[in-house]
Amino acid sequence: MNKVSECTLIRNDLLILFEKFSQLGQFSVPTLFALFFAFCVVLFFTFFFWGWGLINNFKGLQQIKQRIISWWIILGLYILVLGIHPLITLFGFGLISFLAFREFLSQVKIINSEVGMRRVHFWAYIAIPIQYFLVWYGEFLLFILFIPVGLLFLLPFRAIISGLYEKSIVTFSILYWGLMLTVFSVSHIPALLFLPSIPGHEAGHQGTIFFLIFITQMNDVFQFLAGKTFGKHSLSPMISPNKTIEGCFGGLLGSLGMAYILAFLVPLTTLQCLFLGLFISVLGIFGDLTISSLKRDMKIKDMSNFIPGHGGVLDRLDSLTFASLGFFYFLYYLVYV
Amino acid sequence: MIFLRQVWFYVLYRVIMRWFLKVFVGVEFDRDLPSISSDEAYIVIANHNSHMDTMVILCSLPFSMQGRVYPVAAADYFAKSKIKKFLYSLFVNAVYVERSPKRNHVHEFIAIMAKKIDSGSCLLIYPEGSRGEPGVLGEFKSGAARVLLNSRHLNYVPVYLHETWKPLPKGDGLLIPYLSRVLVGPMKEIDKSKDHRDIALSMREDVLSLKPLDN
Repeated sequence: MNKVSECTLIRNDLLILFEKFSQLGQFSVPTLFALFFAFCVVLFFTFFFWGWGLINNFKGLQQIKQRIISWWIILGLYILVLGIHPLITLFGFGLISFLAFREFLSQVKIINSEVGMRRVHFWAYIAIPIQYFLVWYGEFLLFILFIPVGLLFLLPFRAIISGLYEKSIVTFSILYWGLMLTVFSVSHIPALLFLPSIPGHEAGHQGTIFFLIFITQMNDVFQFLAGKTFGKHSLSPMISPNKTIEGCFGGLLGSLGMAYILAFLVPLTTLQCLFLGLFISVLGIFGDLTISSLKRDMKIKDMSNFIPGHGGVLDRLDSLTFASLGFFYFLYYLVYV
Repeated sequence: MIFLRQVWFYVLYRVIMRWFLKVFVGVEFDRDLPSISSDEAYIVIANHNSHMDTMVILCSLPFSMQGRVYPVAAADYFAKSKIKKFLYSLFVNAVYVERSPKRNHVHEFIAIMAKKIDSGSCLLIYPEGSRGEPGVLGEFKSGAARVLLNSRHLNYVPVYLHETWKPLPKGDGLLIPYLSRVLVGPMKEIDKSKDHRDIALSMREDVLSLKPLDN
């Protein structure tokens, strides 16, 4: 009896603390609970692997440690980017899109030394701030049409002005697909903030964004851990030999569990929420394999060395690229249509 | 005054330009160029494909070397007018040489440069002469080697600039973000007994050995 009351006391203290914090920044009280949960998860992994390192310094531990340090940085950046002001959120995600797009183009190695084709590249880069401006502007149709439809004819338009045809197929296809992969999909994450608010949804859109990002990332973590412990059968030996069927099941189960725990963050029923967890997990694996196949094709291991232990920005975004789109339209369909 | 110059170039390159190049253009910086005491000096040798090259190298200088490294620029282009010369001196810290001087002037220029090095200033020389064919390391001219042979300092630092022509190539003023890298080699000494042509050849090899394997 005594223990229960102590727990409620701690809970009430936290609640008061979170209410104060929620008045300071953008996060709602349920989101702060979830963030606290994420903080505890990273803290747990930090103690777990540092403790393991004291007992038995196994091969690959150094990389895991580096990854955990990166996780702390990512958690801090998450709070900085999403917690202060929506415009900072837009700017932050715009920067991530830009870095990922630049990484993608640099690795594909398609810059054309011809002056005209460089202008087409420039137009593709200009599309990034415009896309994020459209997110802020809040005209939903413009925002979803600008890259898929607008850039479809704007990119060739620029080349045609200069009368260029050399390497046009390669340039248009790579720029267009790269924009869809890194800019269109990523811009759907901050776009969640600018949707009309839902009555009775206490966590707000901040909660929805946290749900999406946390589950995709935890899916990766569970996949990694389950794959390392039980992994035997390769899921896709041709593309990514490290990914195992056992690992994917682990990721799937982990995502389901996380979706169940964090169901209070999204304005859906528990059943819908579980389905959403499954959906994000599958799309995450699919996105991961897509980026892996690109790297396989270009015969590289990482897109760049931007994040220590993780590789490039696109290496970390891989599972989010498809999951963000799937999540956004799934939610949109269930809530707004 | 010297300290003010140092602070000015530090703020310009380490505080502002380095972040711009890193975040916007996508230059991956290597370690800094070596920091040396004021009675020593070295020549920085690099390949040259883009106007960005000098910026990138000046951004790789530690605080103690800021304002002490002088990029050697062609007078016929960078000192065409007085305003241009003033601006390049103010923002890039350049010194000027005639690109194709008369025969008896060559020795004069080398003597001037050697004097500069003897007084503890470092030089940045692109031995290829100008921004050559993109991605190809051209023949090295022996000017840098001759300057070193005529001075009491013997050190040079090879630097390889990988794909810096892609964000800003010759013949186009539009900067387009694209990942490029700078690779700084260890400080080396020339063999004083050798001919200046042989030294130029070995310098070229040093720069080329820094080139990353294409993956």
